[in-house]
Amino acid sequence: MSKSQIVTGGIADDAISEEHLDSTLITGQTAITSLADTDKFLVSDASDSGNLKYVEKQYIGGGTWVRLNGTSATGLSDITYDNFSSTYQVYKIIGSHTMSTDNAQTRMRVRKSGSDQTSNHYRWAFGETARLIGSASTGENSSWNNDHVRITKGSSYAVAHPTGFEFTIYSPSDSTRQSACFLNSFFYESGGTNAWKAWTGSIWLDSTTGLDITGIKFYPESGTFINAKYSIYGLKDS
Amino acid sequence: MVKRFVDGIVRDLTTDEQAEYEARNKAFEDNKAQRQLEKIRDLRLRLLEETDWWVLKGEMTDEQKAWRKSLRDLPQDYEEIQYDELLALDEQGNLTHSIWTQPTE
Repeated sequence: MSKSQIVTGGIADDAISEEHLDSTLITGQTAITSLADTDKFLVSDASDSGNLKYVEKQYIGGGTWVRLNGTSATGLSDITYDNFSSTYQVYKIIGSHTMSTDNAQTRMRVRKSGSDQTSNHYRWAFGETARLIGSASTGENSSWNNDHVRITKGSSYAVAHPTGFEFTIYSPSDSTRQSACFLNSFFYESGGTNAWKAWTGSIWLDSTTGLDITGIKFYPESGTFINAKYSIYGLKDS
Repeated sequence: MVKRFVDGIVRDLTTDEQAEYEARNKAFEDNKAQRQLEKIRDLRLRLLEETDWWVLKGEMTDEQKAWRKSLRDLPQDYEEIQYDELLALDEQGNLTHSIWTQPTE
């Protein structure tokens, strides 16, 4: 019912219904672009006669990937995230870039307290599928007790050639069980081999290198990352 | 100017980080021959695998036998200074050295 004036004695409880509300009640507010766990949403509680209540963002939905950080930049000597904590059990990094140096590898090291871990405790086993102009082949790329992990092998520095990967690291903050990772990467290997390649495989971070990890670093074997687009996500359990 | 990306911030390298960056680039240059040899071995392996069926068929020509042997002997038959020549490409990106060309079947 339309009201042209406030009735004597003020507005009674539950008297303002939806027809009295302007849409600017929402659209007129300041917008935010990220949510804190304690940000609140208005809800009608079905278990309590539809009474209005609020719910905090941390209780909405189930487990989900939360974007924690990212970049879109060029001329970078490395891309580093020092943001691992026990809040997330699994982290995923999705990245793409071009190399500034032809035929240079993309590499990874984990970090602790802001320092690269350079001991020879990186082990990996990747399957390789390659396609050349006239043929295809399969193979492997692996290493035992290296001081880094290869993400790609010698990719092209042509600005039009894509290099990218998805990288998932499990329980980096665990103090007892060593961490391990999954990798999917794609790149055009230059320098004579000239093959479009895909690597799929796993990485084992042995010894103390695989415990209490607080960060991760991706870097080129030589030169810089050009036109890098990276995002890091944390897996929220609930 | 080379930059770093750390936790959402793009910044200049510190003196130590600049030194580490330059050492990385130098190591890459110093490792050129090893890197080329790895590629030569990959190419050799692929060609040998592609023609293994010749051996299984048991009817290889002398030319085919000699070519497969030259591939197997490739690392010891060529010096580091010849690696550029072995990996040279034409404008279409094809390897130009004759050792990569299969004899006709």
